[in-house]
Amino acid sequence: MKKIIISLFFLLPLMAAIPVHLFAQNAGDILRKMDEQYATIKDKQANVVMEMINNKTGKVKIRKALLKQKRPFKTLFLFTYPPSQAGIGTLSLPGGIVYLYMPAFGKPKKISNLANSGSFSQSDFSTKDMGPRNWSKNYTATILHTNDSAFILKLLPKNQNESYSKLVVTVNKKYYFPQRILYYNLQGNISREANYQYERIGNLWTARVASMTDFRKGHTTKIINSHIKLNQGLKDDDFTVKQLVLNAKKVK
Amino acid sequence: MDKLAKLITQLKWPIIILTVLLTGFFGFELTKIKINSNVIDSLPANDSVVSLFKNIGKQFGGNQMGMLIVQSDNVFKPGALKDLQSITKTLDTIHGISSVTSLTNTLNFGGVGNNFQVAPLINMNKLPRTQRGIDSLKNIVLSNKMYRGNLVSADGSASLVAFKFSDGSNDEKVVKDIQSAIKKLSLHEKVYFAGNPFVTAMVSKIISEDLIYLIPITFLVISIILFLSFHSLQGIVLPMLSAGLAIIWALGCMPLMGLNMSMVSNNIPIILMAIGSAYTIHVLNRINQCRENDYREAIRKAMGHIFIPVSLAALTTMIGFVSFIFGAYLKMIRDFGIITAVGTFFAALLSLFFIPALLAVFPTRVIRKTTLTPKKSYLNDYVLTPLTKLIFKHPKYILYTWILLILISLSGVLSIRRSVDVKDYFKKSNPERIAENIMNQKFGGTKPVFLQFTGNMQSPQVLKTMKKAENYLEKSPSISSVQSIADIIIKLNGTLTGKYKIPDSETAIGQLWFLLNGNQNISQLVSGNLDKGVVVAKFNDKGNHAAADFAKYMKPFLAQNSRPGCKIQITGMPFINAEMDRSLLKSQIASLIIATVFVIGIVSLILWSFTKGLLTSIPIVVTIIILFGTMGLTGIPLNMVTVLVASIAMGIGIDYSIHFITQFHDRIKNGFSLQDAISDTMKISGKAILINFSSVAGGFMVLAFSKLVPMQYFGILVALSMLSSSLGALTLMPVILIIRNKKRLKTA
Repeated sequence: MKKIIISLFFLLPLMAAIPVHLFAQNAGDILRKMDEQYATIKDKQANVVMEMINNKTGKVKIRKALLKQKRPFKTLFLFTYPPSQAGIGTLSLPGGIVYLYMPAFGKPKKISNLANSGSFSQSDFSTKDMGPRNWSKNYTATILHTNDSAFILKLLPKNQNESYSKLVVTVNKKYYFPQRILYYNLQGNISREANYQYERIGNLWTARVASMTDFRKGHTTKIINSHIKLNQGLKDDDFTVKQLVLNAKKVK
Repeated sequence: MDKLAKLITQLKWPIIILTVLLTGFFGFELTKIKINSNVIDSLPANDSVVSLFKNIGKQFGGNQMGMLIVQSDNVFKPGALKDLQSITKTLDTIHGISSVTSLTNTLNFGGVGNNFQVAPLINMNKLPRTQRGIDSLKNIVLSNKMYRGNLVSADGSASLVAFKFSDGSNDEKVVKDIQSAIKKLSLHEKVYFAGNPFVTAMVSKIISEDLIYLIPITFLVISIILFLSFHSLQGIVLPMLSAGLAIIWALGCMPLMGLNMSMVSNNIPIILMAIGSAYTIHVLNRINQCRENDYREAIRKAMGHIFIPVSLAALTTMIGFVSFIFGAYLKMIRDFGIITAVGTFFAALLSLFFIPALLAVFPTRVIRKTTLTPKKSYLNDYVLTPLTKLIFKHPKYILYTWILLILISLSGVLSIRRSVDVKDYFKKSNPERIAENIMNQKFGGTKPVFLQFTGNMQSPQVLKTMKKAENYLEKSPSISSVQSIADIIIKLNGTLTGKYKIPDSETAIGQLWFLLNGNQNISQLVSGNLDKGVVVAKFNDKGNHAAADFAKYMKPFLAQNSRPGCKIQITGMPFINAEMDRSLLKSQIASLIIATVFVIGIVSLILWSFTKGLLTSIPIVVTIIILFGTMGLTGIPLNMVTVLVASIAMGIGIDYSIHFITQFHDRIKNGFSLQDAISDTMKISGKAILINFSSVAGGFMVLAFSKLVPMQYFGILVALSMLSSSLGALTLMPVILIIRNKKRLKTA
């Protein structure tokens, strides 16, 4: 007992001298853990309701779709509502390749979006927002502060051509998923805000509701997932042009 | 009247305290005053063309479009394109702008076989470096009618960055932000700002500057004239004080009544200063004439004499202003009429109550230190006496001179042109005017014509009618470019199927809409619910009748194609301008008739004789003829501001004749011969008329330094009218009196 007390007597001042931040998480570690969290979901199926909200008038437009996703890059999106657009389907493949199937126009068309700034299915989310972020590869992070449940990080994009100057991301302290992302434009003002509500399915956490507000447009898109199925073992063959047409016809 | 005069001196302190309190109150209200120089806000809401225009502006953002013109020898040069890109990116980040379109961020879609490609119209990462590359890019872009004449001029020397202001944004602040952000960019090419928000902001800026610079100058000019006339400090301070208070009270009423300063009402302070000071001059003059040992008694006596003439002078002036309330098409003109009438009332009220009360409190100072009558009268010696001699010596020559002036003026009256174009409000060197000229020369103008379609925008029939309307519009010589959603649907369908036409099935159109949903630029052509769409055309101004001819051209098309399920309505700035143009004439005639009838009526009542009333009105009628003649002969147009001159001239100018004729009859009643009565009237009233004319005309002439062209014309024309009406009262009126009373004169 005496030895323990003596050891503590020497160790405690020594520990106090060690900088506190060495105990805390490194911002880079947090980004790596965010990437790991994202990677836990291999594939996903869900029913999606997209609410397009005009914040000034309060008018809401609703679209419904079926989603199949094999992460990181393959997505099948089949619209079921409104009736005039039911049966329209998109298949996104690695390399920014998108196939669009519109039943009234027969064969699917390969869409090359060379603009690379296109919105995801005419929503306030961009195609980049919907894909893998590769947090640790694409951003340099610093911890702004922490609270009981979250880290608040400032992320600077490594790519100088981004349309925003920085992101301020609120990261769940326990599960490392982003809860809120503030996008700052090149003038340093907040231009967009994303919010995510997560749901635990088995041992996995996935966003059940994602919303994106574009302050300049005064517009918000809310994506609500239901009947979510994760890691069902979807195959690459489920994400072919043939499957796009077959699935779209079933929806129609 | 004596009782009232007595009451004023008895209640001097309550009057002064009340005046101070009211000044504090109105002064506080004055801080809330807002400037709104947007002509669109002033258009009558109950006019169907206007309400449709406003609704379209609200729904499709057409009214609040801004344009930044980049001018270069070739806008396809890398330097110019980089300028366009940096402007586009900068505007994109400004709060209050909801969308920005330029050559550098426009997406082009096209495709071969099963490939559908969405790509930037110009790849900014691979800009052409050789002349051949530049020419090739120029040819590609200019071959597309969606861009040619809309985003880039047909000769490739100017390109537009078009942007839409967010709904409910503070446009004036956004304009300032845009201008300061663009200033910070190091651009290679010259840029100009165009569009309604910029024009409105420029007018507001000029209004503020005019108010800041011109009011003190007017104050100074009138003060100098008053000093030269009276050689006394009191003769300057009191008229200026009462006019200044009347301005504060009148302008303080504007926020209380929910009215804004406009490009018409910014001359209110100058008008009130000129008018307001005149009433106090009359009061002071009369008090001075009635000077006795007991100063308060002198005030009472003077007020007994002056109360009714000043009240009636104010009443006739108010009628001149009130006449704008009836028959004016633009709200800003009605507001102007209300506030100037109220201001004239306040000016008279202050002159008749506050000034005597003030003089009753400080009698000794006033009496001992001031001499309102100069020892030597230059006006009498060098102007009025020679003029009186001339009148008696050559009455016929004077009459013939006036007749000649009337005939010359009549020849000009018919050639008065009208102008409702806001661009004419700026000097030729003004950047807004230059921008407007570039827009007219290179982009087919800034005046939009809208054809609103109400119906299902997914219906092939509706879209086909829309395309038909586009083709019909393009055949009109007044139209320079046409755009609608039908064009975009045709292009999309062509890219997907190879058939460049509106698809025959509603399902196919519905699916094409999938590609367009959420596109910011589409919202300028179609409503969010897809139940309304617009064909937007640019109108080329070609003469005064172009809008009427165009309306005639469109009439049969609308009659044949507008049907249930596809209602077509037409509106646009050319139609509103045409209506404003018609209304200028209507409101000029209406306000003149109202002013003439009331003024003659009141003068007849004062003189208790309709003949005398008519006689008194001769100088002012002649003044109006000369005014319109001058406008016609010099090319000064009748516009939103100059339309006010005639009634104002009548309201103020009639006072000179009233003063002359009342003094003349007073002398006749007191047994003076005609010659003596006229000579005496020339001495007493003539002097007051000349002083009054100098201060009023001097005050208005300051407006010649305004940066707004119509305001310059306004100042010059009012000053000219004052000159004409005062000279009319001092020469024409006595000559008529001499000719009418020839026999009496001979006997004498």
